[in-house]
Amino acid sequence: MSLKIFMCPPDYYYNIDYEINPWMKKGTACANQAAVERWNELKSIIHSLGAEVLTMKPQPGLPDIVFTANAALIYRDKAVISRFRHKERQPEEKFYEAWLLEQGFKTVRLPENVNFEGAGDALFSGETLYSGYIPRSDISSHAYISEALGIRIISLELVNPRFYHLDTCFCPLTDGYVMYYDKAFDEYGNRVIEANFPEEKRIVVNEEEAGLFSCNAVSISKSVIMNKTTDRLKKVLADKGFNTYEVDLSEFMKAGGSAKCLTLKLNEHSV
Amino acid sequence: MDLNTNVEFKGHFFDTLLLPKILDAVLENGAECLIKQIEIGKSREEESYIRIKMFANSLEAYNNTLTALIAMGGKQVDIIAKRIEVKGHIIDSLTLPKILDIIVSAGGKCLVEKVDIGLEKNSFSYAKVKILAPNEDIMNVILEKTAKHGAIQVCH
Repeated sequence: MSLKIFMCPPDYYYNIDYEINPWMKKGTACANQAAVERWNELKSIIHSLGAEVLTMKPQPGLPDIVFTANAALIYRDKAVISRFRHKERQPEEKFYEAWLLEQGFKTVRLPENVNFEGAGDALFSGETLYSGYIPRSDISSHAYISEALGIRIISLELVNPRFYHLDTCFCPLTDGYVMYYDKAFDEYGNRVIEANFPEEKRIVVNEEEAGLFSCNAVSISKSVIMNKTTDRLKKVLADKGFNTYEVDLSEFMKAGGSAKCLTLKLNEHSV
Repeated sequence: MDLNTNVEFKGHFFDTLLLPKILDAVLENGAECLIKQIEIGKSREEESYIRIKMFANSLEAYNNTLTALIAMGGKQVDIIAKRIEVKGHIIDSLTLPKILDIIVSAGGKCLVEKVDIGLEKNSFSYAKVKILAPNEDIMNVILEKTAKHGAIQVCH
């Protein structure tokens, strides 16, 4: 079975009309045509790596719906639907839920007062889920999710506002590797990561690479797709056996997202 | 003993024999006391700390004793106690030690009253923690900060 990835085209991705993360500056113009082209380039690379891309119809007035990583957390046949912290993104929830139901997922809804932003804040390495909290997701969501899915969750506090979702600073890779920005976590978080990933499996990005959203990458087998990054990181990845694919996703970074934010793996635990 | 309060002292009261003077002052003014906490300075320069709970069965004895203790450098403190619970993968995630550090850093003290460690990889751990704070403001700060890490206040 091939890997299935969910994406939503940026047809209505235009100007930045609100600010809900430090990357967004209200009034910034986004070049829609360039965004569409880069989004299609990302989709083509994913397809060329053997994955199937499924898409959802975009919605006018909801520019961030293009960031499907925040739709839900997928585990086997269950989808834990996001409960967005900011009102600007809350209307996306019903569209994501309807689409995932159409795909045959059993949806799980968290209590109304519990915020959780899907795979943006929840990333698997093997059968362990690493879940970020404070800026967008509440740690109280972790207990609900752990019980609903029967999985172990490692909670990681996000301490740098620029890296407001876990997937902006932490990227589990194939074969037990992890790529992350250590300064997005406090001492406890770094100790937890070091305890769970041996030194030879840890790839620490520097400040420049973190700012280029290099950790916001799509990992498919030994391939890693990301925004334009540094030669240093590409070499580090190559030395560990990974091929790096770059796409200029600067238009999406204006809204605080990049490659990983634009995708959601639908059958990571079934292939 | 209907009336009681906590009084704390900081200083070099072992070197100066202030501690026996404090205890004498309590008895001489018609009250009683329990030493609730004592921390001895580890070096000549480091101050020691003592907290006593003073009991009196009349308002006169209470006021006289408190006045005497304050004249000796004591500070009345209202120790507030609350309990929180935290559950989840709190050991693997270092959430429990983080919460304990938050309590101490904010000026409180804590006592882990119960810990149940999940035996299976996917099972939760649980901890009940008693928080002691010298005043309401510090307790509120502690409760607010620990709540962000999943701590829930409980009544028992």
